[in-house]
Amino acid sequence: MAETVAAQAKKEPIISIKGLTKVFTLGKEKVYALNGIDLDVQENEIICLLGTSGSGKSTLLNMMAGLEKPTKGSITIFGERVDKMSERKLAIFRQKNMGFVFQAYNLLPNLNAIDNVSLPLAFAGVKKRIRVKKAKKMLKLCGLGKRMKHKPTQMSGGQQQRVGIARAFVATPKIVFADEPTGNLDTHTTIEIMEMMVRMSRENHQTLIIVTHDTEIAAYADTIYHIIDGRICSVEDNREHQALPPEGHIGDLAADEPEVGSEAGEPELEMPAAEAESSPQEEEIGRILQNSQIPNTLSTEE
Amino acid sequence: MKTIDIFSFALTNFLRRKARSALTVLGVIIGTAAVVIMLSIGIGMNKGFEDQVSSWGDLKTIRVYPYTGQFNEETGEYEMPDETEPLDDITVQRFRDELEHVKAVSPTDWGWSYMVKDNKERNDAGSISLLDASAMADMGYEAVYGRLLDERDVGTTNFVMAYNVPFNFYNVRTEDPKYGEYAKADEEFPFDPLSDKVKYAFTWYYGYLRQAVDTTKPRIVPEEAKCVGVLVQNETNIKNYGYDNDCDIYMDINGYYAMQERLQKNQNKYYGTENEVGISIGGSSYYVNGQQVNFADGRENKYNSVIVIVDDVDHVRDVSKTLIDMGFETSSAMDSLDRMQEQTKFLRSILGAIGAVAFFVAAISIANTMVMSIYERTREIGIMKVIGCKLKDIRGMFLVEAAIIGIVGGALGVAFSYGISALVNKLAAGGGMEAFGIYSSDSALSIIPPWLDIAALVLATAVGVISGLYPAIRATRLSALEAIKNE
Ligand SMILES: Nc1ncnc2c1ncn2[C@@H]1O[C@H](COP(=O)(O)OP(=O)(O)OP(=O)(O)O)[C@@H](O)[C@H]1O
Ligand SMILES: [Mg+2]
Repeated sequence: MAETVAAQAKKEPIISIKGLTKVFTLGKEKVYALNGIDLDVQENEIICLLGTSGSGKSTLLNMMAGLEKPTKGSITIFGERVDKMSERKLAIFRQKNMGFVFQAYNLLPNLNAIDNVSLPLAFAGVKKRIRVKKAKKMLKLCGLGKRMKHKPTQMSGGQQQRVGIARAFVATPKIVFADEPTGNLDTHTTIEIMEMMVRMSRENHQTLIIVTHDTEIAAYADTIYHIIDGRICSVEDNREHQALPPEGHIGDLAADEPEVGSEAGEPELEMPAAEAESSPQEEEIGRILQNSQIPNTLSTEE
Repeated sequence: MKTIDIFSFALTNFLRRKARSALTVLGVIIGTAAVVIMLSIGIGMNKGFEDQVSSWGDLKTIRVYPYTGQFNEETGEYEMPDETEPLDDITVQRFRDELEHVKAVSPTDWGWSYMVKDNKERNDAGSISLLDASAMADMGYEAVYGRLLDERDVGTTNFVMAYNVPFNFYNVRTEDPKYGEYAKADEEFPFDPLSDKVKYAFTWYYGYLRQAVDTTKPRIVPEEAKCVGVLVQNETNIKNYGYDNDCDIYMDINGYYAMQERLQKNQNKYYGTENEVGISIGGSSYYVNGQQVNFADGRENKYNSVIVIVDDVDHVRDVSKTLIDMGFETSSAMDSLDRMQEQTKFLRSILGAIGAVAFFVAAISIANTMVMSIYERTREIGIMKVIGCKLKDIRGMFLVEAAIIGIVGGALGVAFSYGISALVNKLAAGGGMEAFGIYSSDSALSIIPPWLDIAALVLATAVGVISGLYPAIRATRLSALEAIKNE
């Protein structure tokens, strides 16, 4: 384990944040939502931004996603300055590289689960037949095989969030952002959801950035950044004590969909990345990744 | 995003809010129908005038007269040109050589004579339409039996007669005179009008066959002449009135003028006076307002008028203008049509304006619906932006939705206007047309030509897209961040 950490530390970070400051001016008062943040995120890393309410976590995450412009400092993702990108370019950049899981799920109310999940693929110009197939597969992986035609209002919060996760991961983005993904859920569901996200990002070698105020959720991350008043006050390497999803839970999670559940099963749990590649499901996701990248590159016309 | 997906998203949204979409579409339906109906009435009125005017004479025909001056509106004096171009063979040839878009040029005049058949029956209708025999085919006449006059008949008294003519002969001794008998459609002739056994002759003498001959006077000699053809019946008249009222004889103008001189001499001999009949022969001096007209180069005015037939209605105004520039006076049915259309222009532009206002209201309604829909969907649009929907796709969705409203409204509006149009025509049939000064029996007040359908559909779609433009741009400007912040 220690070796892997050392090896990863040497690699180029995929996200590099330098001196990030965000000042909101409310009348005469200046609010320093962020105050000089420096942060590097490695490929395949799961990080957590942990802090109390109002500490600036969401602001930081939104800025990484290009939804907000910093007052000072820079954000570089895959070598590109996100803070300098135009709206148009950002849309394409997000389409190609980012997935989002929201606290309020933010599913489109008039679309059923399949259509919600296939949305990012539709935006990327994937054909209907293909994207529906992928969405169905993704929903099965998330244990929603029997809820595919349901609209958001016909599902529980936990189910909606699983749809949200399926949507965030379906296009296999390199980075998935999750702002308080379990904020509206009970403890049991929280565990299910967290394990699912961690499992998926591990399987796909994705970088997961979780925002939370809950230390139990932070426990799923490789690295925990403690944020207080817009500053990173400490960085904690959590690999040693990481909360790994125990076998039993995955079974529960996928109980909805037995065949997939058994397929999705055990081998991934230990998660040595190299080993995971041989699993049939891994291959499937890899194929999804490859397929969906063809239209992605095509759609970069500008 | 694939184009088909943009369309299907737009369609889903259109169908999602059924009541509101329906109301907006209704606005477009009314707007489209208003424009179509108003324009169709304008078109119907113009068509009505055209029908009416062309029943007076072919729209492609221009009648040319010598220009003999006009009243000066300021001084009230009649101003006559120093020299006037006469209507003679030189002029006719000049028209044929110089005018463009002209199908036929022919001098015209009216002649008159009693007609005698086999020296025992008479036809007193007597009207002889004079023309240049060589131009008859080009003038659009058509023979149903025999042939038209042509080059061979120039200068002769060979004639062609209208279909009704054979039906108008009566036996002076046994029958009452006939005045304007009209044959039914394709009615069989009472005798073979082209048979060699039938002898035709013309005379000006009223008492011919009718009264005992005064043997003390020189004999009346009728002019024998040959019939070469019978004209077709006028279909439009048959359709409208059940009969064709043409009872004329058609003869070469120069042939007739020569016959006229002979008839007059014969007549004068009989009466022993020079001017008893008092018919003046073409070519004599021309007086206007008591002043003699001076014709160019000392030429004489041989013809009363010259007819110029233009190849297409669209060229009539141009040819007319050219003729006026050449120094002649013209008159055509087109002049009357222009005058009538000018008089109702105001009415028609008001109708158009009503339609335009209705359409404008529909456009505002589309824009309003789209803006409302954006307010409602702010969050959705934000989410779509966050998860990577391109701005142009968002814009596309809204534009397409607005276009759908336009197309659906436009199509239904066009369909609806056919209903209204039929209703308007039904109402107008009971005297509505006369209210607009149209007295043509077979015109409809509201006419929707195919181009109007297409134009209305295109316009409705364009209005949809244009009204959707602002909302669509607005949608792309929405802050994605606002949308995903927890409510
Ligand atoms: N648009 C804004 N205008 C003014 N101040 C803002 C704005 N957005 C955030 N802030 C302020 O910036 C600070 C950080 O906000 P942020 O939403 O990042 O907190 P957070 O850590 O996500 O908190 P929570 O856990 O409650 O979501 C807060 O003090 C907040 O009031
Ligand atoms: Mg927050």
